[in-house]
Amino acid sequence: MAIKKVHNNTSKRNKKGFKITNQKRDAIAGLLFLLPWIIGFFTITCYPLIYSIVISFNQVAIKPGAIELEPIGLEYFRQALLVDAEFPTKLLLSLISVALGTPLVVVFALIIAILLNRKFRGRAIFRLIFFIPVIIMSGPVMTELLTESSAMNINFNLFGIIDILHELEGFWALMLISFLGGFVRILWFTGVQMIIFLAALQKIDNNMYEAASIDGATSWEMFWRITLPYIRPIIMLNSIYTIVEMGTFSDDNTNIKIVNSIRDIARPYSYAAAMSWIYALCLLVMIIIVFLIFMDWKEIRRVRNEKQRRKA
Amino acid sequence: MRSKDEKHKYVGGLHPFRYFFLGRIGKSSIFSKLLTYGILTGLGFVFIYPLIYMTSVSFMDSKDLVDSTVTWIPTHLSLESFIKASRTLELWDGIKDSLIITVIPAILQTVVLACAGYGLGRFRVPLKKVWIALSVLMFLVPAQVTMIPRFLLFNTYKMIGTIWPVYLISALGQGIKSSIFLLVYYNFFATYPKALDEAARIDGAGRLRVFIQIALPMAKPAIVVCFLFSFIWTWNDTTQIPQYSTGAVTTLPMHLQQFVDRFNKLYSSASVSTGGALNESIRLAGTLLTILPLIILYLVLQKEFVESIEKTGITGE
Repeated sequence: MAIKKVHNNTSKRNKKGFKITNQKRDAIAGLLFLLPWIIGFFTITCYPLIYSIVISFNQVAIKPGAIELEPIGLEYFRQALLVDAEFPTKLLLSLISVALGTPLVVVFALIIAILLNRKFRGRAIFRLIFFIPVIIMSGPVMTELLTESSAMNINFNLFGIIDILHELEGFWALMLISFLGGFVRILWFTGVQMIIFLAALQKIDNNMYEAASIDGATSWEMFWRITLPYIRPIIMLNSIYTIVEMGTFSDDNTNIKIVNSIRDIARPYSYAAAMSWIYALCLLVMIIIVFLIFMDWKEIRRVRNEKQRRKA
Repeated sequence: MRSKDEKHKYVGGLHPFRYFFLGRIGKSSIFSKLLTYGILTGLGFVFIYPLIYMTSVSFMDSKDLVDSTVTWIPTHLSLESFIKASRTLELWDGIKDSLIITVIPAILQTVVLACAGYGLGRFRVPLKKVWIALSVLMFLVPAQVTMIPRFLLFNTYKMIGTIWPVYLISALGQGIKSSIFLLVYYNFFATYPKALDEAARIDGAGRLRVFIQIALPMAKPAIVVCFLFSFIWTWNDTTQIPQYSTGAVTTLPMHLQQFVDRFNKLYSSASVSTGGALNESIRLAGTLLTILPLIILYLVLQKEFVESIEKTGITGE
């Protein structure tokens, strides 16, 4: 302590005679370390973000050497939602697949992580297998694997399930077929989330489980009472990650539509910007919903009550 | 876990049923082991199946493909598909371009974000919470939103069609999913013992020297994770790189995207009669060749990869 205090009090005078305390020097050093990122943040992330809002409300005209903007209001948003023949359906399908896919991805990532976290023989090999999606998952590869019908679909037909379903016909059978078809694709999104869950599970103190099992808790009870509350924030994190990942994936139909209309001759850039903002806002709404579901409301209420008590 | 009656009845030995479902105390039962293996094999099958299928079909020639008696094991190992696919993909050019656009940006991003994470994690930076909140917020904004203005921005500086946009983006720490890496670094530097730094400072080392000689070597797991993921995600990127750098580079996944067109150009329709048409075998060989470099990288580094993930504590507190 003493050393630290002395250390902090040694202030030097620079040439101009200003006092620079060690704390200030620390702050400056920290900022210097952070500087490239801050510059990058403002120039190639923040500025483009604002600019993309601006151009979605403007008509862009490409003149030699410059770009001219002409305010057009909400026109492109209206066109995207009401006039465009493709966009609303594509958007809806994308949103449904994200909304249905996210819980599945998170649940399966959690199941895989819990199982991989156990101690059993051959764990290393299984880990090797379950990290595969992280490594090779990319738009074109997925497209190739999915279009080359048999590379991914045979899975379930192996047991004749699909054939049976085809015979049943009916609405639910069809739903189930499309679910199974999409299911394989969905499983491929579990890679990173599984890793995050695994890292979180490894951090739970083993003593807690031991104490619980001495008190007679079953592993089922332990999962609900210890594991789940502990990883609750991680579930939220992973849900948000999944929404962003699935929403920005390059073989997503809406994204393909957006990318393809960037160089739309009649309405360059701004129409694509408007569409991407519509999509982004929809995803943001989903993220907020996830946030509301997984917020620790009890904790928030407790803190608020405590504050009120202190005031009184 | 143990009901009282059961405990009294079978004090010495275990009831076989109980042994099967619950196991000895402190050890997992056969049932739960079977369940573990069963579920993991079932789900793992989904990931491993396409790989096996791809490998198997890639080695088939056109006769085997049509022959319904040949399902898994080709009658003889034919490299024909690989040769055609690699010519279609322009394999060596593709790998070269992919490496150009991947390796240096991954290194740049790793270094720059390590610095930023160190600055945030170890120093009392003004507005610290604001920076962290902003980086989280940026992760939530889909990449396609910023893509168009970035394109226009690079266009005004005449950088479109060169490799520089990708380099610049990563040199300023704004690459694909860079927020995650920043948070990983921040978390790592904020939690490791500060005593080491202080000791070195008292011994007279400057802040930069402490960072390079003490903090960086300790952050090896975080660095490995950041580098590998940056590498993989940049390699697999087919949304941003084509927008910024078409003309300068055509990466392997980009070649794969245009596989059918390229194949038809190379082996024009005249050769259909001679059995040179595009078939499943060739397409899958192409896919396999595209992901092969990543698989090799993964197999070489898998030990570091798994260990690093465990040590970084990606999740934070």
